[in-house]
Amino acid sequence: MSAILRPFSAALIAVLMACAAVPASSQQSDAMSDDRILGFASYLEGLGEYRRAATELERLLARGLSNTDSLTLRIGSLYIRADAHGLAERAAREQLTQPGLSLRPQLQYLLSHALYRQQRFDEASEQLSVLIAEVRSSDTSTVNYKAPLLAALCKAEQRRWDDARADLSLAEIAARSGEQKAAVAGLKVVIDESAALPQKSPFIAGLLSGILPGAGKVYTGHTLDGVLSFLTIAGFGYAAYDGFASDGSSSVRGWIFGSLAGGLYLGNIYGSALSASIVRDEATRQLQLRLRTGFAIAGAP
Amino acid sequence: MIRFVLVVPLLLACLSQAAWSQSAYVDIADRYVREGNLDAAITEYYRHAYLHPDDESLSSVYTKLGIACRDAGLLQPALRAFSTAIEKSRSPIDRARVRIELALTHLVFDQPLQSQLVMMRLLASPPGDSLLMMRAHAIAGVACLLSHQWNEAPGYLRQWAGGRPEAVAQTEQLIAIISDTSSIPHRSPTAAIIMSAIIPGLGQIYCGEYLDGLNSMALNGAMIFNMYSQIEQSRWVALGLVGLPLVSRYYMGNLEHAERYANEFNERARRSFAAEIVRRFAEMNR
Repeated sequence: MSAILRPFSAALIAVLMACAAVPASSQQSDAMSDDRILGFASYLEGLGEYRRAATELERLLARGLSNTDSLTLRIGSLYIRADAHGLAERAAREQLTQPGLSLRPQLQYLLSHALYRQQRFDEASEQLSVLIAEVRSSDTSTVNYKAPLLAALCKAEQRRWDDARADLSLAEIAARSGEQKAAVAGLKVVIDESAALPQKSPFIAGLLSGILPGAGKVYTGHTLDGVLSFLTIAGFGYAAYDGFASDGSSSVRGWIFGSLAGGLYLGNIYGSALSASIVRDEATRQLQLRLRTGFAIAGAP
Repeated sequence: MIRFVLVVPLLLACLSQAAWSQSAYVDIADRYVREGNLDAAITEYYRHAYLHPDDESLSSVYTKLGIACRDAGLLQPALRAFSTAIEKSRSPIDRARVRIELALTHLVFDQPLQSQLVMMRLLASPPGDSLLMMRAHAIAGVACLLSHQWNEAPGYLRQWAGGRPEAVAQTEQLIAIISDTSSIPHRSPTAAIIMSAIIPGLGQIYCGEYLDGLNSMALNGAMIFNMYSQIEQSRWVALGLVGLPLVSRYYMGNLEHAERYANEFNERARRSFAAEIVRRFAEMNR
């Protein structure tokens, strides 16, 4: 073969072979370079594809880079934005088991946030109380401002208003800028207003309607409905009484109205409990909306 | 000669390698789509779009991305992908193809009016491809049917049939069915209200809501009987206290139910009629 190929041909073939090999291998490795993956993740984030972006960044994490703390924080934040709170929790927990973490408080905060978003308020509060104690003396991190805010949010969700106010006081102390202080003051108002939102118990509503038909509905704020329920049941009850009083226990009118009154009475108890449950759910929704809006404005979570 | 024999295959290999590297992610994504792994496919289409922003075939990649998103049930990403595909398309025919996929996506997500709008836009500037125009007319016709525009649909369907004798005959049969809207079952809300005003619950029964009708009949019947007893015994205060509020609550509620059920019945009947026409039209297209 070497006898056949002249120097020019050999050189051309070498160049072409290099040319053939370079595009595939270099472009492939280039596409998978750290910078390209980071860029692709940012591109996906810009499109609102948070979960895909987090999955791409997990690739980098698996390569064992040096800045894994900040990468995990970004992954966790993306998972939270994608409503994949369990994955955010997993990412934070896995990173927290690593030695020599440079951003431990931020990772603990991420974990608490993920727990809060899963409505695991007790666990989140527990994590946050440890974190608040650890970062109280720190001046450099925003966590010492954000952690008590999130703790207050957890407690407000559980309607522990006094505990929530105590945490807000800690956030007020940690607030650096005038803007942060104003945000905390605004949140105090939100907490106070939220505490005043109606909280109705289905059990009490049912019990009240059992004692006095319609009373449970009045308790849940449906006054007209309650009065009409009372009049219906009382009217049918009276008609049944009238029938039995006139014709004795064989009165057809008595049995018909008695059955209707009984059915409506039981239905009213159930309806009152249901109404209280709806009022309670709506109040909870309102509470969450107010609190989350307020806390988002305050820069946390 | 030997030099030529060696150089040409190498040159081809070189070019094909470069081409492979351009479309590798699209190939992988296409394979994922075939395997039903739409989520992974979507990521790979995105990756290609990110890594090759100047690729000439980007419109087709975004179209594939849109279709994958649509099949995965992701409306917003699908719409965004089709919008970018239209932006990146290099010819009116490419643009028309994307618009057809976009219109189909609106149909899949029960947005017939939006689908019709997209097709109207396409038909306003015909791309010059008869097959695409045929598809556009078919989609616009189906969109009209699904949005209950019985008078608009025949025009599109006739355009779809064009000059094909067999299709024309079948389309005319279909149009005859569409034109006869009197075959759609209908319940008059006014009639339902009047029926329930005369005999509480009758309007609901007329609309096929038997349980609610019987319940209303029993409750209002008992209430009216009770009021009659009170009138008979001249208990005017009791009548005022108990009777009138009950009338406002149960009797008026009964009338409201009758009207609502009639409207719901008519909506269901229209949807069912449209679905049947679309089914027949789909059979014609097989």
